[in-house]
Parts: sequence; structure tokens; C-alpha cells
Amino acid sequence: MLNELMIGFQMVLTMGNIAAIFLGVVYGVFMGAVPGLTGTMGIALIIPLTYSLSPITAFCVLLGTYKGCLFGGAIPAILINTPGSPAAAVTVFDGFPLAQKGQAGRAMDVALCSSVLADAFSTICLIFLAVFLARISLKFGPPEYACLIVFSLAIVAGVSGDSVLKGVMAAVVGFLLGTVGLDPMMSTPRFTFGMPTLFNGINMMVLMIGLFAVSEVLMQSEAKGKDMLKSIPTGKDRASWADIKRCLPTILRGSIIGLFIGAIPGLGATPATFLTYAETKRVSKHPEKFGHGAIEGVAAAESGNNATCGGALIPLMALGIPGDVTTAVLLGAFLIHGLTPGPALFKENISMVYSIFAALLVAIFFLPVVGRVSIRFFSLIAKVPSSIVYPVTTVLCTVGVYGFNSSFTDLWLMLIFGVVAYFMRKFGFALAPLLIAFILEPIGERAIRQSLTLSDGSLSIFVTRPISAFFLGMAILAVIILIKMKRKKQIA
Amino acid sequence: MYNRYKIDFLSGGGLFACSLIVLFFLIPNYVSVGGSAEISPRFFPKIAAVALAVLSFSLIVKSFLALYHHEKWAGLADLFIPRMATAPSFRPFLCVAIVALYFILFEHAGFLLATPPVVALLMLSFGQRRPVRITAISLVLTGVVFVLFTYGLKVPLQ
Repeated sequence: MLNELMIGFQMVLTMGNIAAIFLGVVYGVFMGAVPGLTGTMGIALIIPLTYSLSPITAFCVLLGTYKGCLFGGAIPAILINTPGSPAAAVTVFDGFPLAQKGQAGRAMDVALCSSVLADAFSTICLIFLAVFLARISLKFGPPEYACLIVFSLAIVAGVSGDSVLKGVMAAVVGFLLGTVGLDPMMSTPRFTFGMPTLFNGINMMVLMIGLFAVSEVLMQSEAKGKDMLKSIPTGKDRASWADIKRCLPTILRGSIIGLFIGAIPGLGATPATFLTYAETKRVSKHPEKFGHGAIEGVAAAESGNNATCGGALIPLMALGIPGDVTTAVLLGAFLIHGLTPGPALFKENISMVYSIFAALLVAIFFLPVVGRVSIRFFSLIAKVPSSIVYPVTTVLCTVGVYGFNSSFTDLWLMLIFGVVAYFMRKFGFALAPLLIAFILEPIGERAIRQSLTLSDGSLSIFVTRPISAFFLGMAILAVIILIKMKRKKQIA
Repeated sequence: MYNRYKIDFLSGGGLFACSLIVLFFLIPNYVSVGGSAEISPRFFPKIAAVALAVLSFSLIVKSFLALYHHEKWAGLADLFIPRMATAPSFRPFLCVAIVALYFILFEHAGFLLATPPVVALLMLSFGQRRPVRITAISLVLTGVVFVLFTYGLKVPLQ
């Protein structure tokens, strides 16, 4: 493993790749720092810029962006009482009260330190766990894959959004959209309406940008004139070594919780931050200070948030299953660059896998540099009015999608998906299950149909093989647990 | 909560109609038949369409029951009149119209001519009222994006 990692470092440590990681982190912090621009949207928007890059350089940019976005959300959370991303909502609880007390710089330092340490912990765990999991998954055949995807869809559809029913419906719509294009086994057209553009299915880039970027522009267009937010100056105060030392147990706790939650498909960073915060408050000797400017509160939220990065990448890298919506977009980026995450990637392109790990490790060193130098600058960025941000976003969406195939049909499809996603969000349907089901449908369909061909149409193949039976059992268990949880919530 | 049920009722109805269209019109006309039932190209679209029909019908029933229990006390007068959770805003529709105009202009006049007026329109629709800022940003953005894509990334925008 060490040898492969060294080769990975050799491939990543070129001037071009280092610059790519650096720019990715800067761009990610920017996207995270501007309220309304999310990490998912940030990655979706930057994918078109990576078309002409080599896969390694492209992933240096994308992974740098991913890490930067996770931290960037803390900046407006602390300085303007507005989380830059949903996961940074918990950072507001104690970050903003600290800023009001004139300790914004201290809060930012602790947020940065917690982010970096949790990120490093989760990245190291990712390297070991993904390799271990990938070795097991090399034994998977079509039935095991089919059942794994059923399990993933069951979890993703259930945990996204307030309503299980609507989550499942969104997943079914995504599944249906995934069937557009040539049939994977017989190559006969399905829902192509005679348009050659649709023969390869709906362009993933078009769907991702439509769902996350265009719908966000439409959502934000309703909130005209709400962009003048007052910022608290960062001040000259800094976190002391004693502050960091005091927060270390909290950071370790947050790292473990974030890693674990991040690795479960569908959960994402937001529940990880809430859980870490609640747990830190529970074990604290002074729980009454939480919510009024407790420095451990900031450390808990940020460590829980950033540790999900490595966690979410474990199922993505090892099994090809996205852990959250951002990794679903990353999965799309993998496929666009001709790579299929999962055991096949470990088997056929091991140097690429370790280059990705190396890029993740290098990005850890850039995060404190970018974060430290640019906190003041990004506190100004957080105040960029929406009347500038969203028109710029619209142009970037357009050229990004057009640049992929030089197709105007793609642009119209992007707009249609944007409008559909806007109404889905207004009507309380989560977008994550739709995208994840769309991405997993071709893999799942091929696996199921290959399994049925192997068994001459008998469904028993899914229950007679131990691993596939295990995943089916887990899927059923997940559905039962989710329904029980929702019922409990309704009664409460 | 009351409005949410109305929205659920309507969205359930809309998706139920869509699932029927997929099941009885799109699949028979736009997906060819082949192989045995298990591995026909129609198999998965059919499963998805049936699942969508069942789930959307469940949403209709669930929201109808919730509405009915609510209306028992308030009267059934406006049971089927849709109400949005928030006041409807025309701005997203204006935004969609501007973006659609952008695509038409882009196709017929090219990126350089289409982008500045559309960015200016979008900025106005988002509440920006400073003419210098609008002009500067729409021109600079057009130039930067054009140079970046055409010369930096070798992606032609014309």
C-alpha cells in the first residue's frame, strides 16, 4: 500500500496538479463562503472546466473544491450569522455569539483547526477502509451488485427529506430518467424520441447542473433584496494553544462521528454536525454555555462536518455508491472522465486510486494556508450581492453545459430539469434521491438483468447467494427502521 | 400544514398523471419490445412507472385524508383549490423567460452578442439598480468567460 501511495504522490506532485489542488481549495472555500452557493453546486459548476484536463488533474481540482466547500461554510456562519452551507448551520450556534463578543478570529481559528484535523483523520481512515472494502467487493458478481444498489436506494430514498414517501417518489423519477437512452443489453432505443443526443442517455452534467444550479438560481430569484447582510469584523484575536488543546477530545469525537455518518449512504454532513454537537454538549461539564459562545461548540460542528468528506468517499471509492449528494456529483465526474469507481477501479486503475488519495492528503495542507490567509477576504466575499452571484452562475451553467457537447438541446434540457427541480423543492421533494437513483439505475439494471440471464429468469439468485441475501436483508431492515423512525417523529 | 397537504394532493395528482402517460403512451410507443419478460427493455421503465403510479396514488390518498380531517371542521368549500405554502412569485418565471431568451439569442447571435444583455436583464431581475455595475459586470463576465473557454479550455462558444 505504501509503495502505491508513493507512486500516487509522484503522479500528483507536479506543478500543474499542485496548482489545481490549490485553486480547487480556493474556489471551494469561495463557494462555501457565499450563502446560497453550495458545495454540490460548486462541484457541478466546475466539472465543465475539467473536460480538457487529464483525469488526475481534474480530480485534484474537484477534491480540492470538495474540501474547500466543507470549510468555507463556517466563514459566513461565524461572521454574518448565515451558514454558507446547510452543514454549517450548527457552527452558527456558538460561532456567531463568539463573534458578537469580539472573538471572531478565535472562532475562525478553532473552526479551521478542527476542520483540518478532522479532515486529516477521515482521509487516513478512507485510505485504509476503502482499500479493505474494495478487496472484499472484488468478490461481488452481478447479483451482489444488484442487491447492494437496492440497499443503497432504500437508504438514500428514505433518509433524504422530511417524507419517506416523497423521497422514494423522487428516487423512482430518477430511476425512470436513468432508463432513457439505448437499452444496456439490447441497444434498442428507449424514450429517445428520435433524438441522437439522447442515445447515450440524459447527459449527467445537464441533469446535475439543472437540478442543483439552475433550481438554486430560481429559488434565489424569489428573495430579491435580501442580500445586504452585516458582517462582524474578524478582529485580531487568535485562538491560543490552550484553546486547541481543550478542543482536541471534541475534535476526535467529531472526526469519528463524521466519518461514520459520512460513510452511510444518504446521510451527509448535516446530521453529522448536529449529532457531534449534541454529543459534545451532553458530555460537557458546562452544557449551559453551548449556544452562547462555547468554543467546543464550534470545534464539534466543524470537525463533524469535515470528517464526512473521507467517510462519504469510502463507499464511493470502494463500491461506487455515493455517500451523499456531493459525492453523487463526484461520481458523475468520475463517469464523465471515463472512470468507474468501485472494485473495477481498484483492479484496473490502482495508480489512479492512489493518486486520488495523494491529492486528498495534499489538499489537507492547503486548507489551513488558504483558510488562514483568506478569512478576511472571504468575509467580504460572503457579502457579494445575489444580484451579481446568480447572473454569473447562470452564465457559467450555460457555457458549462454547452461546452460539453456544443448542443443546444442540452441547454433546453438543463432549463427543463432546473424548472422541475425548482417545483420539486417548492413541493418538498428532495433532489438527492433523484440524482443518486439516476446514476445508479444503469449499474443496477445491468446487474439485475445479467443476474436474471445467469439464473434463466429465476429470482432465487438474489437470495441464495450469501452476500446478496445480506444486502437484501439490510435493505428490508433499513426500510422498517426508517418507517418506524418516521412514525415516532410524527407521534412526537 | 394545511397548505402542505394541498400541495401534496396536487403534486401526487400530477405525478400520477405522468406515470399513466409513461405507462400507457410513452412505453408502448417509444420503447421497443424484445427478449423474455424479465429482460425486455420495457421491464425497468414499466416497473418504475407502476411504482410511481402506486406511490403518487398513496400521496393523493394520504393528503386527501389529512385534508378531509381538516375540512370536517372548516367546511369542504375550497378542498380542491390549490394554495401555495408561500405567496406565488413571478420572479422565477421571469428568470426562466430570460434564460430561454438567452438560449435563443446564443443559438442565433452567438455567445458574445447574447451574454451582455441577458446578464444585464438577470441583474435587473435580481434587484440590481446601478447602471455602471450592471454594464461593467455584464461586459467583463462575457469577456472573461469567452477567453477562458475559447483560449484556455479550447471549448468554442460560437
